[in-house]
Amino acid sequence: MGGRPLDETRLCEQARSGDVDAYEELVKRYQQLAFRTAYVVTRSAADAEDAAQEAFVKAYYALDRFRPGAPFKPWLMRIVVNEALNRRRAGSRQEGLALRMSQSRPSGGVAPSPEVAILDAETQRQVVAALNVLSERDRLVVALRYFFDMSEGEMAQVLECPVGTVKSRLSRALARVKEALPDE
Amino acid sequence: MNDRPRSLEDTLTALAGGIAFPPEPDLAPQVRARIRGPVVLHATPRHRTLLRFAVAALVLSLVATGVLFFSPTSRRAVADWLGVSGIHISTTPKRLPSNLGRRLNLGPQVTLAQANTRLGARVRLPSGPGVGAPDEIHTDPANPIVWLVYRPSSALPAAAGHDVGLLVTEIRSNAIYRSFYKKLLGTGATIRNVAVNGVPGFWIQGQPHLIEYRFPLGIRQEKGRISGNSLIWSSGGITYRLELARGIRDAETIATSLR
Repeated sequence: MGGRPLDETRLCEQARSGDVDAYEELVKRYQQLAFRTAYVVTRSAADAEDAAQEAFVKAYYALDRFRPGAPFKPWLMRIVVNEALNRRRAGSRQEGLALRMSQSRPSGGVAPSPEVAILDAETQRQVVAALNVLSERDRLVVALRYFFDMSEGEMAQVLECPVGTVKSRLSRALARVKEALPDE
Repeated sequence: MNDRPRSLEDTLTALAGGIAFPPEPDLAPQVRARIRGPVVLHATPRHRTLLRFAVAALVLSLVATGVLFFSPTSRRAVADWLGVSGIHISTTPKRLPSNLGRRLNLGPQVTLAQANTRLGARVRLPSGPGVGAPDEIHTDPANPIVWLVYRPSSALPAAAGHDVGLLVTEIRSNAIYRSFYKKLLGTGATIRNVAVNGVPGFWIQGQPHLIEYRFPLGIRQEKGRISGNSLIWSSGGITYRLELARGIRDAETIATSLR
């Protein structure tokens, strides 16, 4: 577990010195997360691709402002989120698609995880429907925490706010999900 | 018995692997293509900063014969959608003329000192292999616009329909950048966001297109010029535009050489 951060630190240092190969490795490592995060905000695959690509380019040209030794992921994802929100604010070209559950196989083509398998279809449908009525900012905090497994500390960096604010935003977002769920 | 998670948090965690995200594209080749030019690392101003300080809009009327077919209604809708007041998305019912090489409809030819005065700032000149002093310098008599004209050479082949190898336009105004232009070009031309010296810009490649510049006191129409590949960006209150036959790598090299 300790090797990965060191490896990433080295990649970042090499990229900062203009090593495009090193930066490409970082792009490959985080492109799925970047694209999916942007998609949660925009709910448009085209906008998400544009936002993620633009974020990677901007991040490259901003590497001189990246603090050596700092974790790359939240720094990058902050740029991704800003790009995605900018596109959303600028006016989406099309109505966003709703998040949905995979029909039989989750994206990635593997069998459903045991955790998904134990959720009945109706529960899945209801929770995903509730997520779809959230604002993009509420949906984002939920996704960062539960879908992308970010810590509250990482989320604070991504969202550029204190950890306490992350906690309160997450709490409010969850309350809104509950409000949107049908009464049992 | 169904072993369902008890809390909403547990449910959301369990859902994580089941969300049907679209297949993610391989971004690495596109990103690499955009960053393989010379790296100049310095602060990158954000688009909204550019917008905040925009004193005039650089309005692109993208005309690609047989490519754009917006009705007046849809043009207005697109303009609203872009959020650019008064934008003109022009179309033309006939082919753009192709023999305009000697008539760029630029303003009077001037010296570099006169161009500096007209622009209200120091005109920046490119340098590098095959790019020496400009063959001609022109200014617009009514607006702070300077053109640097370079004859074709082995390093700078003539742009289609022109007898110039490179045309550098410098305008004292900021451009409005939007990421949507590429959606308007159809199949004949492409536009993409690029970083020029760390500053956002865009690259238009493919079909000829016609441009207009809008200033507070009126519109400057570039009736006589039809450009091919263009690199456009703003820095320090000046909008720069390079037009050339070469591709984006050469354009970026020239852009980074401006001094």
